[in-house]
Amino acid sequence: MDVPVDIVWFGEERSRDITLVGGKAASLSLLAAHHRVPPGFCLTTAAYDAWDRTARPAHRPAQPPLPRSLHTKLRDAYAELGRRCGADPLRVAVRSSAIDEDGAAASFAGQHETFLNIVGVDAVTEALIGCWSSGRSQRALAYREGSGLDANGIHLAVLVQQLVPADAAAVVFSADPVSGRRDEVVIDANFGLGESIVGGSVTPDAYRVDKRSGAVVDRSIGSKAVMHIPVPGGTREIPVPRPLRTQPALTDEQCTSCADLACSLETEMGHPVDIECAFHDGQLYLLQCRAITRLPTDPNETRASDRDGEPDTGYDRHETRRQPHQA
Amino acid sequence: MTDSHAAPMTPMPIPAPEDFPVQWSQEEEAQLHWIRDRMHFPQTVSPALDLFFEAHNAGFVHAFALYEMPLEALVLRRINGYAYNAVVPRKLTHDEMAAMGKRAQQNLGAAMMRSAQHWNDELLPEVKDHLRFWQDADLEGATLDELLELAAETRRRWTRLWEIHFELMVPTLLAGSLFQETYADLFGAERAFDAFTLLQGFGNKTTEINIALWRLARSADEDVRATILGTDPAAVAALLRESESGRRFLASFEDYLQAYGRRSETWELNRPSWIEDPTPVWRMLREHLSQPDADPAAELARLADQREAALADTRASLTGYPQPVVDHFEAMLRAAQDGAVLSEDHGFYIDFEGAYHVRRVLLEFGRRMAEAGALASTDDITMLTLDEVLASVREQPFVDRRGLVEERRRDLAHFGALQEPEMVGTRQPGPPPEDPVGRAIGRFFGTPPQASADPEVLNGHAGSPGVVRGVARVARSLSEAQDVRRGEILVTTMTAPSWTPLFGTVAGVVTDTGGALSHSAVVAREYGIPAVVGTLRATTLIRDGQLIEIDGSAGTVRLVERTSDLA
Repeated sequence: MDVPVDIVWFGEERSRDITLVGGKAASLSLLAAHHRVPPGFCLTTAAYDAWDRTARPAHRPAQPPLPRSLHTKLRDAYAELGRRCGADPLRVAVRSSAIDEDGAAASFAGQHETFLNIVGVDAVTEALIGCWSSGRSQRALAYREGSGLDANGIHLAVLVQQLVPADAAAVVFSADPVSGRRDEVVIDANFGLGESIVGGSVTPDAYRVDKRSGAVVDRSIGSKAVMHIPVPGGTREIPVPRPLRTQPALTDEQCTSCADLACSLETEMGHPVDIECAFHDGQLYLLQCRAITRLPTDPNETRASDRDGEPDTGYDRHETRRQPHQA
Repeated sequence: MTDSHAAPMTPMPIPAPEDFPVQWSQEEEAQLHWIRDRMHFPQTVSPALDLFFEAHNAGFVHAFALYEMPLEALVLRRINGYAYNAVVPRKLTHDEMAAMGKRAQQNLGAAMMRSAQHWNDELLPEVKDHLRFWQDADLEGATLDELLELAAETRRRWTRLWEIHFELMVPTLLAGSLFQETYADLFGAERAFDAFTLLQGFGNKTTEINIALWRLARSADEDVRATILGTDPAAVAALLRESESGRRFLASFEDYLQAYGRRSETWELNRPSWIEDPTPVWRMLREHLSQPDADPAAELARLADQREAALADTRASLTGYPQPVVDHFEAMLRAAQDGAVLSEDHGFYIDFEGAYHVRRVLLEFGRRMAEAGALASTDDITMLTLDEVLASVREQPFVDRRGLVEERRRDLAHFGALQEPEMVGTRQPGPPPEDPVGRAIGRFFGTPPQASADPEVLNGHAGSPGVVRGVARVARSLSEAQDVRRGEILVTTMTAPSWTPLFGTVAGVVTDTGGALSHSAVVAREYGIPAVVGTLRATTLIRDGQLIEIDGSAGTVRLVERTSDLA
């Protein structure tokens, strides 16, 4: 490549280049071929480098502005995304996508910024710079150091994606991250955007779906005191109406759809995954997909291993042994 | 696992005041926590009202069983002439109670979504059948045996009317409460009253009565107008009979009474209906004639416009909310809007017309007993329970009840003069259940207000928004309230639906009892006047004629003129 590429679209060949767009975006772009992923584009690591260079070396401000040419490209891409989604102005999510991120070694969960419900090119620009700056925050640097990653080698791509104004959102594990069981899908869900589940601000509903039959085998309705909804320029945490808290956020049918999605991703990836997804207007959108880090040994397999006299194989080495339920 | 809510506390018998001895007919009754029901019965009640209590209690048993509620009954009874109520819980374990509570929520949730349809298609036709039975009954022409048969039938049908009453009203009340909770959670407690704007301005039987009366007032010509405005209400009819136009007006007035006059001012059976004594109707006519511009139909249309505008705003602010939340809001709104109409309409047929017919049956016994010398007057019949009446007329000659009536009157006068206790019986262990049904009951009957640190401020509950300053008119009954003038603030124990027309006259309302869903609060919001409800002590602390300022949004009453400065 002679000229560094600043922006690539989901679906383009280069959008699967992990060194260019980071783990999260590369993974989503790959998934977008077979799953309903909200459309979007990436500001690549090359764009980050161009921005990062602008104020070097001496008086580097914490958040230098965007170079003019990059700003023009961003403006055009945002307008194009609006056309593709049929919305003007388009509400987008602006997410960090670091190199190394979403790899099996470290999850980077919550280390980099995400901005939801951003509307207008100025706000998108601001969010972009916010994401890039977060890669250099003390917290992010400490995390890198703790994970044995190169503190100087910060390469942060940013993903600009249509925002799904979720009716309900879910975090789905294709294996039980606590017990290690591989035969059940575990789902946490709440009304509204997924932030309340990921951020831990509520006790969400918890469902377990049997992988083979796709049936909901356990349901515990969480207290769901609050939910996150998109408001102009961001999101807001508001109470879930008290009479609605005792109602499940997902129907059984929706739980099965979530489980199906997680199982097919597990098959594609070749390892257990955790995904974030959201329902809007009856459609299930895939928002994120990662390997489950530090998954305990499958207790079913441990018993089998004990019988065979084989040693415990430890973490992160289990393939799914059964074919997931397929519609 | 420990559960702090289930912290066991033994039941505590409540010591009865020396001057208020309580005789329990059954040991179980002594075990209940009886709370004085000032909201429906601010004054002493007649023994005849036991017939109402019997129907009321059976009605609650029916509704609680129908919806599988963890309560067995909500019972009313007469204790030394005062009405007290108590909740009878089912004897269940904590887990059974929780499981039943869940089923009840489901059953009630389903019922509230179809309450209007249920009422219109099934319940109201049945109610009208029962009312027709009484309309068609020839009371005066009946033999004694036929009258006894009619009494048994009356008991049966009235009980059925109250089963219908609570079958309808339990989910309806819950719908109003859940809608209020949903609205407050979505838009903040500070906008709580906007929730009620979305329920206002629907025509119902109460607004129909007012509009019909206003039209009647408009039909009066100059002479009739002058006669009504210038004559004591009790003497108006006789004067009108003297002129041609007066007689024409009287004929319309009679039609009005036939359509809407089967009611009295309270749930009591000892008060005449409008048909028996139309004085309250003449008073209201007078009010309409002196306020020719206060068109209740136009006012209703204004409230409906206000509602639709508020609804458009509310829906706009729900844009972008998760669809299940929007769907939930719309479902609750529909249930609460239906409930707002039903909570007025059912009363017209069941609470009032039903009671009117029961009273007529009682009066027929009274007439015959008075003729036979077993009573001093027809009206004394309400000093007896129906069982005492039946026992008397089954003997030949009738058992003389005059002595018993005298004794009852003395007792009522004695107890009526003293301050009755707020509670009797046994205080129940543990806190009241914290569930949607418990919260709904609190919003209807009211919960104790926070004590006020400022001696010039009396705390209650927010009933209807707005701030107003005016002269307090303290009235404990509808007849006392008749003297209230335009711009004054009505201070009362509670208001029944028959008080509704007064809300067009007063500038604000303060009550001792009730919560945001009580009748006084609902009607004050309909009339757009501030109301503070559930103060417990307004009628004792505020002096008649004292200048006060009420804040219906904060739920506070300020004594502008200090009580100590008053003569």
